[in-house]
Amino acid sequence: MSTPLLRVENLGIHFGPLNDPVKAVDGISFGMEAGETLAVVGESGSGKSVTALALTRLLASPPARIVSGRIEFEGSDTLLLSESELQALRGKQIAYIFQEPGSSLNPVFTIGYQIREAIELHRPEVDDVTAEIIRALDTVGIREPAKRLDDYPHQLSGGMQQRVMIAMALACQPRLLVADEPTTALDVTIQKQIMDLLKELKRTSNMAIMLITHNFGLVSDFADRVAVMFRGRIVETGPTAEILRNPQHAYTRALIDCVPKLGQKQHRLKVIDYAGID
Amino acid sequence: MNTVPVTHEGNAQRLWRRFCSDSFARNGLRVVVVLFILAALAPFLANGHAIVRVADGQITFPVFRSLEPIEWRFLLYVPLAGMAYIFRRPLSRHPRRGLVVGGSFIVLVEIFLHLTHPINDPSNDRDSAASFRILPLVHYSPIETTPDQFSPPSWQHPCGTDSTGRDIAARMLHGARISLSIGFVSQGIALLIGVTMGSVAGYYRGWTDIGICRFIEIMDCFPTLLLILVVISFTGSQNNMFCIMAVIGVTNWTGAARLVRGEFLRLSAQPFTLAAKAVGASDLRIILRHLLPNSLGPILIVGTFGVASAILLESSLSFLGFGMQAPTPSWGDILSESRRYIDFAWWLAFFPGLAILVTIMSYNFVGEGLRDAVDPRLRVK
Repeated sequence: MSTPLLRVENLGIHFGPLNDPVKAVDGISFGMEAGETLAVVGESGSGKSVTALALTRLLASPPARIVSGRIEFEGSDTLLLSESELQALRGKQIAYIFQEPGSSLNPVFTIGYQIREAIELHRPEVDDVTAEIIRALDTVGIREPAKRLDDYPHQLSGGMQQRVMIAMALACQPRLLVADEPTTALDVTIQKQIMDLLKELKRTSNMAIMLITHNFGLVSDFADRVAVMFRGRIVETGPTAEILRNPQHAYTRALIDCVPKLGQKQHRLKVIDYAGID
Repeated sequence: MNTVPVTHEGNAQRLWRRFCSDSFARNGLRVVVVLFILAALAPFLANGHAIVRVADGQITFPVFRSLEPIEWRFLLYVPLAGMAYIFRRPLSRHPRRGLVVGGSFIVLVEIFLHLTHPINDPSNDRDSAASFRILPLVHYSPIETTPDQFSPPSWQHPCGTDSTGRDIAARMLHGARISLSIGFVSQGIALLIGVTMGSVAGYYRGWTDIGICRFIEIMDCFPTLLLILVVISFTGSQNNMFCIMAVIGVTNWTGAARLVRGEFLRLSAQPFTLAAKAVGASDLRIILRHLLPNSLGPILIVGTFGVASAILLESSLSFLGFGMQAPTPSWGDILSESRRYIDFAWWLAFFPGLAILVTIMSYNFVGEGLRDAVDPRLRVK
């Protein structure tokens, strides 16, 4: 067995006062193989975004403090890297897509310029950058990409903006793509399109994808494995089909029940009963 | 079926369109541009030497002989424009680099030229024999003394003369260069310091921010005018133009710093800052390439108002006698002289006062227009 792409061990991240910290991430461990898709599922505040940001030390500290653990990416601990080594890692090895595509793109620059920046930062060997940008935009399904280069983010729809974000992340051919709730700000049909796009990318490239979501509905036909987070801990992890079929933890069951099912008569959406979980 | 027209204009174009829709701002900008043209052409508008002179069958251009090194600016800028035209291809391929190179070249030329004293030759050739000549609009140089003292405005002297018979119109035209360039350069210095301080404080937060903010508060405790007077009294008799610019700049950066800090605090909490970081951009790159362009609007506004206040400050300094040295014309200097003769020589106070008023007002209109253009909430449609 080869070394895993990513191995997180006993990661602990605290916020707030030293003597009475808020344990946003409380000693979690997980791993990812190259090319694998892992879905991290949990409600808001369960620590999934914080975990994702901690992978390349993107958390602003203060206020965040990484108090324990190690994050090994391809054998080296990212928590020990220098700032310049981290800058080389970010984007090039581990790329991110964020929740709000509208505000994740810089409003004063054209999308072509922003993708160009990513390519020029990490792939100085590319001669024809413009062709590379067009190729990246084409990959994410933007029609007539050459005409879109000089568009500003505000001229695009939310779905298009998220495609641009994905194109930007893909332009540097990362080993791991962290998608932090990529569809939360989009409506359902666009959500489907973006998930289809990610699925397509998963099929055609050898890129590992970490999908962070609160929606179990997205997970079933996308992820190889699922990790369920609750209050800073991973409460359950395993192959997707198994977890969906036979959830062990009460919280997992509650989360799965939250997804409204078509064709089923439901009078009201289920609410998680925290008292029952604790 | 109607198709919705998609506007393909950038932020700058939208800003410009909104700016132009405000008639005060538009006309304010026009006045400022006209003032700059007048100031730039001052030696050709007010000079004791003829522009073209034909005598003994020879055509000469005496005005060029009387020019100080500072007037050679035009002769430096013409080849600069030529070079820009020749190298337009490589420059357009890297427009930012071209802008930086061109901008720094202009700044260097300006600083070099400003270090030399802008005093004109007091001699004249008005009375020399010539078969044909074209005299400048005001045919007196700003430091040339004539026998007719305190002559009221006339065709000969459009704005009258002062106690030593110097032509006020000529002095004002040449003084405009000093007032305007002091406004620009000192505000440039102030913005450079203020933007640097503010962006560092706003981006890094924490102790850096606290330190810089306390420093700003300490700076704000000093009455600006008093601080300037103290600094100038230390530099002593050698207070040339650059010294005054530097002093005004160094004492006036706090407003810009506060504004930029606030702007950076807001922008660095925006997701696109995190996204830029996630792509692997360095701090310097994020500050210069991502956050600064986003806060350019407010910086431009505060800079415009700052230019106006710097011009006013220079006038006050000259009025108090701490400004430019004696023969060098400046608006404040003319005003200061008018004080003693105000009971009969009204023109001594009226024209420079009017010039200051018009300039400050135009700058403020431009600043207000910019502010309205940047902030859509203030727009009345």
